[in-house]
Amino acid sequence: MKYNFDWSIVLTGEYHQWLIDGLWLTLKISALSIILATALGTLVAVLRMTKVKALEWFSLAFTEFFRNTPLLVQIYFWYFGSYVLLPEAVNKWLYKQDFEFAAGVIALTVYTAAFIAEEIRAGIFAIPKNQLEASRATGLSFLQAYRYVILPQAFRIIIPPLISQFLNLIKNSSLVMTIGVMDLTYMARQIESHTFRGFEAFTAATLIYLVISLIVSLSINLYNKHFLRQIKY
Amino acid sequence: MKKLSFALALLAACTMLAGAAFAGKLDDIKKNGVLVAGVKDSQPPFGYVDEQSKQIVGFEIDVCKYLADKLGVKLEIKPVTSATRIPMLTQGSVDIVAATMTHKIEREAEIDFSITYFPAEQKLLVKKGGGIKTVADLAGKKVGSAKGSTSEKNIQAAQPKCQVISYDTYPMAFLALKQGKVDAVTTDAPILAGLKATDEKPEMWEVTGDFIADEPYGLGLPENDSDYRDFVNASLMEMWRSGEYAKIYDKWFGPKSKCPLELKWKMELWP
Amino acid sequence: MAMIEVHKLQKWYGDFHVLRGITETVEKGEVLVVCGPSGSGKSTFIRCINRLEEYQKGTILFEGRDIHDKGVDVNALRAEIGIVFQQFNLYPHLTVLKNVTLAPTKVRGMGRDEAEAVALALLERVGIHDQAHKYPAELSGGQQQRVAIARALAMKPKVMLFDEPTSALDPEMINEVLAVMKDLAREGMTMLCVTHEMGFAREVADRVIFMDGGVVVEQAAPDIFFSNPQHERTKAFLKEIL
Repeated sequence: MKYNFDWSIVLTGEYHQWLIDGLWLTLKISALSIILATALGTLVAVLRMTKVKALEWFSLAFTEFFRNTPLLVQIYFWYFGSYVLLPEAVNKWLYKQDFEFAAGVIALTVYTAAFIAEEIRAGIFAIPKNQLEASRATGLSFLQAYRYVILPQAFRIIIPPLISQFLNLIKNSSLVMTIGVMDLTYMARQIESHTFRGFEAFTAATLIYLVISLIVSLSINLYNKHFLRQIKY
Repeated sequence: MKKLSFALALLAACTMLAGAAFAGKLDDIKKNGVLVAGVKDSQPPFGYVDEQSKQIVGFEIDVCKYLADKLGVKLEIKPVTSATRIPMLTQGSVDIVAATMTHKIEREAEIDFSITYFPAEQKLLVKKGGGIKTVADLAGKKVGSAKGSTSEKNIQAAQPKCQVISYDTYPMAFLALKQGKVDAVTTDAPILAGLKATDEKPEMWEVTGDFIADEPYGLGLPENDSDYRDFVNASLMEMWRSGEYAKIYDKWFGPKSKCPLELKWKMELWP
Repeated sequence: MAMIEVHKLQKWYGDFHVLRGITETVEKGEVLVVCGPSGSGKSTFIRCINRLEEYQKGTILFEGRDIHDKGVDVNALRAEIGIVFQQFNLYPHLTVLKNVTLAPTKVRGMGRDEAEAVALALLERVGIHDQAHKYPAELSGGQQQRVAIARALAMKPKVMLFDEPTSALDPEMINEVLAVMKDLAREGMTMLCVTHEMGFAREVADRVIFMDGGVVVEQAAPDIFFSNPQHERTKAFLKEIL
């Protein structure tokens, strides 16, 4: 008995469209979460540098908590936990929206932000201390100094680890299918259960993930190489 | 998750390639002294973890136990989900699937089925007095289901205007219903009755809905092994004739059980 | 009213008593050179004036107001007091021009065009306007330090602090930086310079103070300071560096 590959099911017709829809959703949820996670991660990293005890503790608790609990549990937490945490009226409104997508974005954002915060913190530590001193001495506030002097330098240093966090996020986004978000993996699984052509469906999905990851990785590296000046001290 | 599924698909393909020279399953089972059954572990009363004993119990486990006893072997239980049950059977990690699986013609391409051992019908589980009675009421609403099941396909066909959200398991779908995230959960009536029974206030929920689809459950068996299939079919019929089926049914669906469901059906019996 | 009045300033680094009571007054337009052996506390002293260093005892008044008054905004205070560091500390990711315009646009709220005009004028004054679009790493040490001076001047400060501005430079670049500083002094800028450039001190300083062990040992006008030092420690120090 030999397995007869039928690639046409993923290349044309209804199931092909399913994959495209799933791809589109994966791109949407990943892009949105990457932007939000980078912003939140930066904020959390900077809070840790403020020398204000309460903020430092908050930042530490945030990173340790979200880095060290499984993402799947966090996805369930945001999806099912809101029911307990939020007032009923708010929930009613939320559930009318695309709450599955929103919970997925929140979970991916918060989880990845914890990792990004650590990378950014390492990047900030790599910047000579006198850069902060020099910028504060001209009258820039703490936040301005970080915004214009420290972070732009730190980001150049941490681009490689940051890319790997972004790629992790894209791959982790497949977990949101557990709460019914119809992403690429979800669609591949749907095709499998409709056609039993799991091999074709998952091969197609795997290739698509691979291509997305390569494009993200290459484009950031190119941007880094050609548009950002390498810094020397 | 993606990688795992891919590996599974790959494994399945390999097993198929290598499967040409396999001996009868019946011999294998007897030789190993174990019947490995894939069952649900969160689907009361078909298969679920009993609170006291922490063991997986249920109607389908009892059916498998009957088959194992007939064979004179031990029964080993492996939990499966709607999405994993077919791959696990085709790659041989279970010998039989008794996991609320509807006998569908398209599934015949991968596996074989026994005769029907349970007649289910797809219904809706909704909040009592919530205004949803029939499939027509679901237009523009969210409906929860489980991945890899036939219910999600059926409901989408019966009501194209509803949004189907597929969770990993039915209890998750029921939790979403309780929290108001979906307006109904749809799947086979006995599963819905089982879900309803798990709630602290079962009277708040009701199983309703007009005809959506018939869901005759068959035991999943490896493709093209007629000796094995004959044995299973014969055993099921004997189970019915001897009254053992009625006993097991009464234990899980009888009037005194947690989810009473009247037996209005008769197994197909070959003379 | 004096520009800066320092009264009985004391500071500890842990157990180390680095400043042991410094009292000093700097008038508007005065150029003060602070010298002394390393570890004497001279850098720490001037860095206290713009609150880059905190101190434990004593007071510093800037234009008659305690710099630790509740109502004092530390950023506004620093905007009035420029500082030039030993290591230049330019921002490596920004062009020379952007290095100079950053603080005026963000702190003073100056428009970009105006800030660039001011910056180019300052760069011209320190003799590097043709390098405005280069990055710091492309400049020599002396050029970088002149950019750093322009960066500080762009805020139109009332006082300039210099923390050993020539110590990290190759000898042939020292003079180009000193020339800029001398120009500034002649134009009437109030300056506190920690430096060992005694030629500079002789030429433009109004007063020279000698610090050792966290106290001011001796102070005088430069001609007296160099020709007729009173203390043994001053004499030993001068003998060593001249």
